[in-house]
Amino acid sequence: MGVVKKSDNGKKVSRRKFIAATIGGLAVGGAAGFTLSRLTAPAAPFPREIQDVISERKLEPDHVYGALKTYVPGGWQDEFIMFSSGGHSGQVLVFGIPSMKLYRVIAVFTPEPWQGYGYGDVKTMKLLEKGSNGIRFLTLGDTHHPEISRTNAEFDGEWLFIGDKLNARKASISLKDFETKDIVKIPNTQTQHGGACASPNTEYVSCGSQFPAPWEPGRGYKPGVTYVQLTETNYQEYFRGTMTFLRFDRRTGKFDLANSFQIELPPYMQDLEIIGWGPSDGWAFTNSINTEMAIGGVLEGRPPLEVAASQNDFDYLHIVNWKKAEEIVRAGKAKEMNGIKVITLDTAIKEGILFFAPEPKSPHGCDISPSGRYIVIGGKLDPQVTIYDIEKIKEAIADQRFQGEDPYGVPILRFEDVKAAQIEVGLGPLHDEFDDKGHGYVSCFISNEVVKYTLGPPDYTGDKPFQVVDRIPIHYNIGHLATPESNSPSPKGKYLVALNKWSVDRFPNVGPLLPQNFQLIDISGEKMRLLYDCPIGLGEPHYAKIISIEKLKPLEVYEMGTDPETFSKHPQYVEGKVGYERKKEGDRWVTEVWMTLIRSTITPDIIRCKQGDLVRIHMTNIETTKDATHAFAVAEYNVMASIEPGETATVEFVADKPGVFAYYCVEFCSPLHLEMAGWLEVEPV
Amino acid sequence: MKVKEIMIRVVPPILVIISLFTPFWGISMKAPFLAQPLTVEVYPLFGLKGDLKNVNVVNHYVGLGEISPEKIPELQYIPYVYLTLIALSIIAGILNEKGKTFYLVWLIYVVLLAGVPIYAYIWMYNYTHTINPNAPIEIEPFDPPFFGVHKIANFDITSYLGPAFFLPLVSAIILITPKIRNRGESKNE
Repeated sequence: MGVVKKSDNGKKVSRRKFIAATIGGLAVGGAAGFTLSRLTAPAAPFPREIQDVISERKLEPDHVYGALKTYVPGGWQDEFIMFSSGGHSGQVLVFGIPSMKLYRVIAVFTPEPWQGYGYGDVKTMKLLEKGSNGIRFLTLGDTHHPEISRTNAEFDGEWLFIGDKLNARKASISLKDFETKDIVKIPNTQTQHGGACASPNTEYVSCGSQFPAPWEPGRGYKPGVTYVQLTETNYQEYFRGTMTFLRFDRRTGKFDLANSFQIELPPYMQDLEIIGWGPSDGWAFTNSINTEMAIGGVLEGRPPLEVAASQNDFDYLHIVNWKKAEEIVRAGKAKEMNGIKVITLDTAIKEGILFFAPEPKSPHGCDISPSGRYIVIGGKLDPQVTIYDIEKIKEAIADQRFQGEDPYGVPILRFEDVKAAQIEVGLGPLHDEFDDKGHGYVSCFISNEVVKYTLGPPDYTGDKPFQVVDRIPIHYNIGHLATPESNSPSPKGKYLVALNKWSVDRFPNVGPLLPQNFQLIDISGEKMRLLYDCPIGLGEPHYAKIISIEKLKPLEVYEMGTDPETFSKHPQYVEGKVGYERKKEGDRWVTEVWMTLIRSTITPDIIRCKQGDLVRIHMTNIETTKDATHAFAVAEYNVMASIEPGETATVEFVADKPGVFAYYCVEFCSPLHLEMAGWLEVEPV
Repeated sequence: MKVKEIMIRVVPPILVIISLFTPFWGISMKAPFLAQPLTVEVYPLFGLKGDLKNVNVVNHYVGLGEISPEKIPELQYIPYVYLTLIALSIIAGILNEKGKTFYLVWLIYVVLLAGVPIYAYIWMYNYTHTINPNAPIEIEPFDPPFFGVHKIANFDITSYLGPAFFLPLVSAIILITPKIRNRGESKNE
């Protein structure tokens, strides 16, 4: 008010001047303000309540940064999906990144009741049976290395593979419905570790054995049959490792043993494996430990395995020309053993498909840089990452430059001839993954850190190749690590997950069996930055593969009457067919049921059979709504099926005990879910 | 003259023909648990289209009858109604110069067109007033959500008349427009 008055009473200002001055002032002020706003970004109006949360919870700037970088609101999509091995849970875990939310557990080697896996659903029972070793029904596995199917060496998001270390098995999982489609026991092999890894167009899924198995000369290894007395001499003479190339049929999702092949290897412990692309296309690599061929025997006067197997300064990087191996098999030079064509060690050497390169020392990790040029080994007992150059390897092989042979006659290349670089990184380097800017990241188990280093050209074109550029501590005891789409030509960078074996003090104490700890690390900048600790209370994961979420195209619901085993119409699905009949099949009485499930009725809701009948129920979830899953379970009979919308499943069990047993929908589906039930009457005979 | 002739004689039947491939009525039901709303639409040529199955799943809890094309024989007459509309629009176009006969044809056309949604409403009224007394959840009969935005239980419902109603209506307006104009002109004279 006063100001206005002053202006009124003061010097007279003409209206025109006043307007001109005002406009001029506005223009200058506006321009200055605009420039200033460009120079200093305006502090975002931070709602008071956010500040309150930060001070109330005593969060530090790093915590807030981590929270904001990882929080994915409900209904939003993560950027990446991570398929992690579930370790000795026998399953596969599916996470979102950066949220680190657990989205799925995929039943693979272990029965999983809530997925109706292994509890009477015939396709899952057959799968577990087929995937067993022929001597017993296996219900556990130790999943280690997942792999995603590839097209031109890039992950295509159609199929997932996972190996069972404990029983040398390989499984395929469709990423259309995230369900296991095949399990195969790898012949002549007792345990495996290094796979799965896929050839550039997923013609083969490959893996190496871990502990050598006893072989009967010329006849290989047969579980529960082959016996060789365990002595050091017999171990060297009769025990063998393998590298197996399982033929994979993308259309059916099945492994085809008849068109697969295997290479017999010396009894070293072959470890991790990778198949090359680009300049390394046609080559496969696996590292090895225990080239000492120690067998342990602490009570028999020999040193323990961990000591005896760690004497050599160099073990052998196995270099396999798999394309040539494939030709040799086609030429009929392989020998059939236990259902697979085996290239014997002698043939492999004679035909020039197997070479060794020295590698320090009892290494772990065997990975290929995005260009396909560098094969990178984690030294484990040697504090270095050793990097080989495929061009040098090919040259040395072409020139036949060898330093000698191993006891089995496998030619050994000279270390200096094939080495590109060695980088001292830290203690216990285990596993390397890569980003899109020419960096490698190695997990160092003993020094508890992730170390970032530069590769060489063409992956890294700067002026400091093969040098450590950053390191970050982890908590604790890191095993593998994973970056999005690493071990392919186009890794995506951005994030790194450290798969830590110990969590010690990172989580509340939930008893002496502690969860593992996945740590999410931001690798988008020059410095690595810890974002999030994610506890894993579901087994001990080993390795994980991360893929861009838009590469996955899963189904929402099945087409009506689909058998998920084949993705085609279930032979027993007939629209509208419900009811049951009791009939004789051979000398066995069978009560066969055609059942539908829809909110909130199971039809039929009464099934009458007689004691001893084989009850066979073909059940269709006739819902078409996303998420309208029904599950079916019979009280006291250990029977459970999960039937997704559109799915038809067949469940079989023997009604061996008389009585009247309730069955019901086990997945809450509707307001009348509790009423979605029926009776199985088993009349005594 | 040429343009006017096309407007009167060609456009109205073409609009009706186009409308055959569009719904004349539709309903969309949204609920929190559904990623996509349930929709049902009625087409002159194709009858009932949409997620009938899930509508029936929802309806059976409250005792509403099962909706299926086989149970609604009226649906098979709709194409004939629309054929008649096409024929009438052609005749009305030709008779546009004539007086009373044109008005008669035009009136039949409009009555027939209006009859479709009116009949549909009556059908729906009966549907929502015929409730199975044995249904698990008891509800009172209610007036059908025929047009506009409604809220019934957990559903947000939008129902609407579609192009197969409005396009023939536009035809009717096109046909009558010259008459109204002429009248205005003659008054001015």
